[in-house]
Amino acid sequence: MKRIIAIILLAASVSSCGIVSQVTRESQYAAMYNDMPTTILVMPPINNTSNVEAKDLLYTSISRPLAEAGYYVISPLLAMDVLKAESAYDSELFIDGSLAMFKKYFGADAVVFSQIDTWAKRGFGIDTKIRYIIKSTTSNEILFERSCDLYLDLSHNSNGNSTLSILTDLAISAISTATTDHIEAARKANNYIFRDIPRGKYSPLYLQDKGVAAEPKDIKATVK
Amino acid sequence: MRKIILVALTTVLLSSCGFTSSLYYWGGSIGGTTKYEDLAYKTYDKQTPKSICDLVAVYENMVTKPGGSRQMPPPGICAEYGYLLLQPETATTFMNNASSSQKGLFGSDNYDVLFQERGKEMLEKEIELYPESAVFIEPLIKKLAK
Repeated sequence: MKRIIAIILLAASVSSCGIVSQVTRESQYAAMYNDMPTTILVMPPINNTSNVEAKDLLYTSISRPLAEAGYYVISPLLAMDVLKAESAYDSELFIDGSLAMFKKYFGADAVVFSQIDTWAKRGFGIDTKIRYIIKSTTSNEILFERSCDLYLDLSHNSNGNSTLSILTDLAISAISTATTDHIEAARKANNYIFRDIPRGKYSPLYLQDKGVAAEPKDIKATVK
Repeated sequence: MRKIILVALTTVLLSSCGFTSSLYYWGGSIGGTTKYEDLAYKTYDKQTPKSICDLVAVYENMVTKPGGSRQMPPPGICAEYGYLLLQPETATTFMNNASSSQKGLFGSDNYDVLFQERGKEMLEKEIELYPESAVFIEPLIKKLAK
């Protein structure tokens, strides 16, 4: 019986949510568990695309997945005002430099940097290429790093089989992408990218999730 | 034994890839996102009287009716709300543009005084709920008091 339970648990842990991996969060994010950041500051994304909205879209939707993972995230809306006042909002200036000032003025243990290389409509969705780095403000060490090649699928699917429901789904999908539901796309991207981040201080799984399967460091996926 | 297997399986399924229940309430949903995320972007991108009134109403809802497993406002929300209320134009904008249901969220229509008091209260509440925020919020309170 014990063997059966072990097999069921193992199968469930590796197959649930599509994460099929033998890499655990503890081995993937060893630096994160050692550093144990509590407070996180998000810097404005570095936008290498011609889509000027992509930067703000990603910036304003990053708090929630990190807060839901159990971290104290300094409000990006407030931080931006302070960063602008200090002329310190240009992420390129800090990504390779000392982050000590963010510890001093914001109390941040870690800083999130991101780089958007692609943000373009394709079909009923959006193609994105985004790179995220979380760095410690005390050691400057990289705690979390991920490059994502994501297709954010915004098509509507009512699960109906009739011709009418298929046509309705197509019409809704067309309207949805015509009005460019990029806010939803940004939310999907950030949720997906941080879904396996080690849980922070305010999560009930804090330091209890070391054995959970982790995503590969670099991801290519369609996110529905 | 069946009960043990069920509990173990549920725990594993919920904990892998972070499928736990939400820690916080984010103001309800709109389309495929939350009202907070929708308004945060719209207000950040381009503030309008309507977006400011909507944001005040969503913040008020989030701080007075917190949900999720932690039953408290998410990190940063009290601070953002307090900061918005203390901006010089917020009270007038709200008085002139808010809907009657939005105005009904507050017990007084003296918004100048009300928003000043509520704003300070919210910034202090952020520190009370999240002590690590003090490094950033205390200087902000001093700056806004000048």
